[in-house]
Amino acid sequence: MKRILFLTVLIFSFGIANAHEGHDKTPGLQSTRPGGTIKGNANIYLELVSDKDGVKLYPMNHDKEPIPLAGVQMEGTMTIPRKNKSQVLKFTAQDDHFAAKVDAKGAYRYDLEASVTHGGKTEKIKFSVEPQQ
Amino acid sequence: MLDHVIRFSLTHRLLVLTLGVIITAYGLFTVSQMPIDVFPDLNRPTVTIMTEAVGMAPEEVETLVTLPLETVLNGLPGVERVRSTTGIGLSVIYVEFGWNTEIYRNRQLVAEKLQLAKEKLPQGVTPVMGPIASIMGEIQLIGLSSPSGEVSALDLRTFADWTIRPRLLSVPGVAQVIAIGGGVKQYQILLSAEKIQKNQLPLEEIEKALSKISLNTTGGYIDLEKKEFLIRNIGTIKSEEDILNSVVGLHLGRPVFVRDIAEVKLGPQIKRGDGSVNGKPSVILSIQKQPGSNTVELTEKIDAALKELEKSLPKGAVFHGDLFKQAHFIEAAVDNVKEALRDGTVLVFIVLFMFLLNFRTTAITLTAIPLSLLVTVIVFHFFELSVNTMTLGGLAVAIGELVDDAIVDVENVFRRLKENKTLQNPLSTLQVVYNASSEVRNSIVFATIIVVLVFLPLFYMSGIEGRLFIPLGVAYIVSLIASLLVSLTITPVLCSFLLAKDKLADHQDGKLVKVLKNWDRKLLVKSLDHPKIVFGIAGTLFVLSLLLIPFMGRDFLPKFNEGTATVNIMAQPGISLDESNKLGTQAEEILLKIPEVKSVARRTGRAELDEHAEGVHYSEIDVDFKEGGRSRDIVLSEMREKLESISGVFSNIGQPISHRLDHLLSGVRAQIAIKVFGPDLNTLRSKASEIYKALDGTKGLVDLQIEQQVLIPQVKIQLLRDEAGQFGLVAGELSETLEKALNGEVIAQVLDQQKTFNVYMRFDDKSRANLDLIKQTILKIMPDGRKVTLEKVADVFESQGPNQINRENAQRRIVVSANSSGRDLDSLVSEVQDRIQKQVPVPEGYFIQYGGQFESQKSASRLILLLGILSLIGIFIVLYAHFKSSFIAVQIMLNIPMALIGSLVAIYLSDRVFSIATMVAFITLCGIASRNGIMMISHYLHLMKYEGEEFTKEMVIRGSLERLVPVLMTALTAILGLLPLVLAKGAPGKEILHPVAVVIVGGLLSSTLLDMFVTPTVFFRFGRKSAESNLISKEIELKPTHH
Repeated sequence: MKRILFLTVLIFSFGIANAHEGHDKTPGLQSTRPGGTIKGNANIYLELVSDKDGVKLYPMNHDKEPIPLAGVQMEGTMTIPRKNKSQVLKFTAQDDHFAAKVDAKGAYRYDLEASVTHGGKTEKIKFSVEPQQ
Repeated sequence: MLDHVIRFSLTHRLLVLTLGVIITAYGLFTVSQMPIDVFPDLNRPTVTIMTEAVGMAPEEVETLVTLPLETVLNGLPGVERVRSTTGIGLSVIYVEFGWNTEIYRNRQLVAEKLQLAKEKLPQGVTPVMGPIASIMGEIQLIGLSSPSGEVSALDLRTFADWTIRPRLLSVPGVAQVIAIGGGVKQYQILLSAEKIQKNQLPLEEIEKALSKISLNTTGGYIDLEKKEFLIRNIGTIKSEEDILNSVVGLHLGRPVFVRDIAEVKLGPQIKRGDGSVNGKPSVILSIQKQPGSNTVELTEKIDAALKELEKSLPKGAVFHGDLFKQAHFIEAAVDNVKEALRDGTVLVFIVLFMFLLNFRTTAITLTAIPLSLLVTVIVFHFFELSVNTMTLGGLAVAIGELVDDAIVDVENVFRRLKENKTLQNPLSTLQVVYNASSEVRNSIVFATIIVVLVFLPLFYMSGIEGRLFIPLGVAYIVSLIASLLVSLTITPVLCSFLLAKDKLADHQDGKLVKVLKNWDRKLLVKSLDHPKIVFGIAGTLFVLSLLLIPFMGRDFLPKFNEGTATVNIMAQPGISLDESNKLGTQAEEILLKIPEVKSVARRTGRAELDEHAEGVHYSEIDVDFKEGGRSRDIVLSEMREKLESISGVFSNIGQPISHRLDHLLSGVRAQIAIKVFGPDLNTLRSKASEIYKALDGTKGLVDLQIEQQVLIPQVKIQLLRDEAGQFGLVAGELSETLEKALNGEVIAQVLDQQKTFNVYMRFDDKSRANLDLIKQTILKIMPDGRKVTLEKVADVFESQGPNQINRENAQRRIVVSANSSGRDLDSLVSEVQDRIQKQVPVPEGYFIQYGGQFESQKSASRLILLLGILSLIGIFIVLYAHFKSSFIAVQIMLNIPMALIGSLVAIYLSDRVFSIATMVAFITLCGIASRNGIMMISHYLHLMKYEGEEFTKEMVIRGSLERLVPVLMTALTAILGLLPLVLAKGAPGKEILHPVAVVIVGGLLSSTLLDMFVTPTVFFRFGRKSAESNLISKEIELKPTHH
C-alpha cells in the first residue's frame, strides 16, 4: 500500500512536470535584423554593422529578407572627413554578409561608400561609420 | 483537555452563549470597518528612481546618470536586483528589495545613497524617488477635453495642472496625479539665428542677458517715520510684452531688444507624450493611490472632489470621469465572491435540511458558519489583512467544511439521544450530549488538524504566488479552527438546549436517507464479496485519469477578467510624436467603431512625471466596455483583427492589472527570456540576432522576438578641439552653448496669480530646421570681426544611436523572448539552450542567462510539489500518531488518489490548464479527502472497541451505513458550498478561485463515491490485523499518584 501511495505521488508529479504550456502573445517586442544601420534604394538594402576593426554589410531585399551573396558584388571606399584621403576596401563574402577590415587611424568617424552590384545594376550607398561607438 | 472544554461549555452554557453573541456583534462591527481591495498586497518592495536629463541621448544618460546611480545602489542591504531603462533624456532605475523588507527602511537607504551619488551627476540633474505606489496603484483615469475647441490645449493643461491636480492630491490616500496631453504652458523666446548674425551678438552674451530677464531681489529694510519698511526690487516679467522689450546686448552702440532677434510666444513645453479621449486631443490625468488605501472609498472621495471641480471648469471644457476605474473591478469582484459565499451558505442549508429533516439540528449546524466567519474576520483585523478576493475566496472554499465538525457532533448527539430514550434508566440530556460530543471529538480534531496541517507548508511559498495564496490559506485555516472551536463549545450547548425535547428524539431517518442507506447496503454487500473487481475499477479509473494529464496546458496564474482592456500600440522607434499621435488616433477610431466599446483613452509617450520610460513610439489605450453585447472573447478578437489593418505598428491587447503583474514577475513578459549581457550595444544586438536565427523554426517555440532596442536617427555635432582652440573656444563651454541654442533652457519664471510659468529660450524652428542652418550658427565674433560659425569648429553629421539601453545588475542587456505552444516547457528550454550553445559563440566579456515566467513557474511548481510531499508525510505522521497503525494511516490516505481521479477529470472538462491555483487546490484536497476515510475507519474501530462488534462483514456494513449520512452530508455541503465558484468561470474576482473550486469539487465527488465501497472493501480485505492490534494497544495513561 505504501508503495502504491509513493508511486501515485511519483506518477502524478511526473505528469504535471510534463504538461503542455499555454501561451500568450508578448507585448512590447518586435523582431529585428542584425541590429545595424539600414540604408538602401529601389534595388537593394544594405545593413551595416561596424566595430573598431571593420564593417559588415548584409544585403537585403525590400522585405528585409537576406539576399544570397552569389548574385551580389561589393566594393567600397572609406574617407575620413576633413582629411580627404580615400582608401579602397576589400570585401570578402562570409555566410550572409560581406566583411572588410578598416583602419580608421583613430578617427571618430569615416564615410563609407559601398558600391553594390545586384541584378545587373550597380548602386552606391553611403554610410557614416563611427568605429569607436 | 478537549473533554474539559466540552464539559466546561456544558456546565457554563449561558456564559458560552453570551460569548458567542459578543463575538457575533464584534465581528459584525469589524467587518464593516475593514478595507476592501482586489488582491492582497502584492507589492514587491521596489524603489523607483527617475532622473530627467532633458535632451540627452540614451548613451549619455546611461554613462552620466544611470551608471553612477547603479554603482552606489548595488550592494545596498536587502537589494535583490537593480534594473534600469535609459531612454532619451530619462533614466529609470528599479531597485528591487526582498519581499520581507520594509519599504520605508528601503527608501531611507536609497535616499542616503542618492545623496552620495548626486555629486557625481551632471549639474542640474537630480534623481527623484518615485512615490510609494502599489502595483494596483493606478486607480482612476480622468479626461479633460474641449469638444468645441473653445478652450485651447494649453489652457486645458493649465487647468489640469493648477486646479485639478492640487485638489486631487489633497484627497487623503492619493499618492500621485500624473497629467499627460494638452501642453504645459510656457513663454518661449525663439531666437532667430539669422537675426542674431545680423546683430552680431554672440550666443553666450544673449544667454547671459536673458538669464537675468526676470529677477526679484530684496533691498533690505529702511526705517521711515518710526516704521520699518521692507525694500523690494521688482524685476519679474508679467507678460510677453515685458520679454519683448528686454535688452539683450548692444550692436554698434545701439541697444538690441529681444524683439530684434527673437519671437516670443506662448507655447507648449517640449512634448514627449500626448493624450486623447475618444479620438480627440485631451488631457488625461492618472490617479495613483497610496498602498493600503481603500480603493473603493478613495474613488468615492475623488468623484466627490471632481463633482465640486466640475462647476469651475472653463466654459467649453468637459470632464470624462469614468475612463477607467479600478473600483468597478473591485466592486464586481468582491460582490461576486460575496455572492458565492451567500449561495454556498444557502445550498449548505438545503443539504442539511434534506438529510436531517429537522429545523433545530439544521439551525444548530448552521450557526457554525457565521460564527466561524466572524471569528476569522476578527483575526484578519488583528493581523491587518484586508477583505479581498483571496481572503473571501479562502472563506468560500471553506464554507462547506465549516459545518462539517458541527454535523458530526450534532449527528452523533442526535443518535445518542434517541438511543438514550430507549434505555431503562436514561441519562440526563447534558450527560448524553457530553458523552456523544466527547465520543466524536477525536475524529473531529484529527480531521481538522490534518486539513490545517496540509495547508501549513503552503505558507512557505514565496514571491507573488505566496502573496496571493497565503491570505487564502490564513482565511481557510482560521475559519476551520474557529469551526472546530464552535463544534466543541457552542454546538454541544445548543444541542443541550434544542434537542432535549422528547418529540425531537422520536425523529426517524428521512425518506432520502432510507433510500440511500438501502442502496449503500446493496453496494457494500456486493463490493465486500468481490474485492478484486472493486480494486480493478478503482485502479483503472486512476490510471485513466492520469492519462488525461498530457492533454492539459499549464499557466502560471489563471487569466483575470478585469472588465477593461489595455491596447498597446508600438510604432517603429524613432517615429516623431506627431506621427505616433496619428497612428494612435487611427487605432482609437477603429476601436470606437466596435459596438461594445464605450470609451477609449490614449496616452502616447511619457508624461512629465511618469515613471514609465516609454518613447513617443509607444501608445497605451485604455478601453472601457458597455454592459452586455457579445462575449468578451469575440470582442477582443475583433479588436485584434481590426488593429492589424494599421500598417507599421505592432499592437497587443492586455488588461491593466495583469499588465502590471507581468511586469512585477520578471520585468519580461514572456515564458522564456534569453538575456544576453555584455558591454557593447552593437555586439549585444548582433548576438540577439544570432540567437533569433538559431531559434527560428524550433518546434513548439512561438512569439520569438528581440527586445525593441534599435537604432534611431540622431544629428551629431562632433566638436573639433584643435579648430575650436584656434578661436579660443573651450570645448565644454561650446557644448553648453549649443545645448542652450538647440535644446533650449528655462531662464526665468512668469508669475500669473498663484501660477508660475517657465520662460524658455532656444533657436526657432527655422534656425534649427536643417543641418545647414545649424552649421551656420555664429558662436563667437573675433576682435577682428571674423565670425566663428559652428561648422568651423565642429563636424555636423547625421548618425544613429540606440533608442534605449536596458541594464540589469549593473550590466547592459538585451532580451530575446519567446513562448511555447504545444510542447512541454522543460524539453523546449533544453533545446533552446542546446541550439544557442552550438550556434551562437559568446565573445569574452559576454554571457547568456535564461529566465522569464518559466523560471517563476518552474520554481513555484517545484516548491509546491515538495510542499505537497511534505504535507503527505505530515498527514501520515498525524494519522499514525492517532491510529498507531501504518496500514490504517495509508488506507486513509488512499482517499487522496481517489480524489485525484475526480480532480483531473474536472480540470479536463473545464479549463484543461494546470496553474499554481490548481496545485494549491490539490494540496487542500489531500486534507479534505482524508477526512472521509478518518470518519469511516475510526467508526469501525469504535464499534469493535465500545459496542462489542467483531471484525465481520456485518460490522463493516453497519459502520459504513452509520457513517453514510455524515460522510455524504460533509461532502455534499463542501461540494455545494463551492458550486457557485465552479459555475462562475472567468467572472471577475473568481478567476483564481474557480480552478481551486473545480479541483476540490471534482476530487470530493470521486473520493466520496469511491469511499462508499472502496474503503470498506480494502478495510475488510486487508485491515483485520491492524484493527485487532489497534484494539489491544492502549495509550499509556499517566494519572496523578499520591505518595
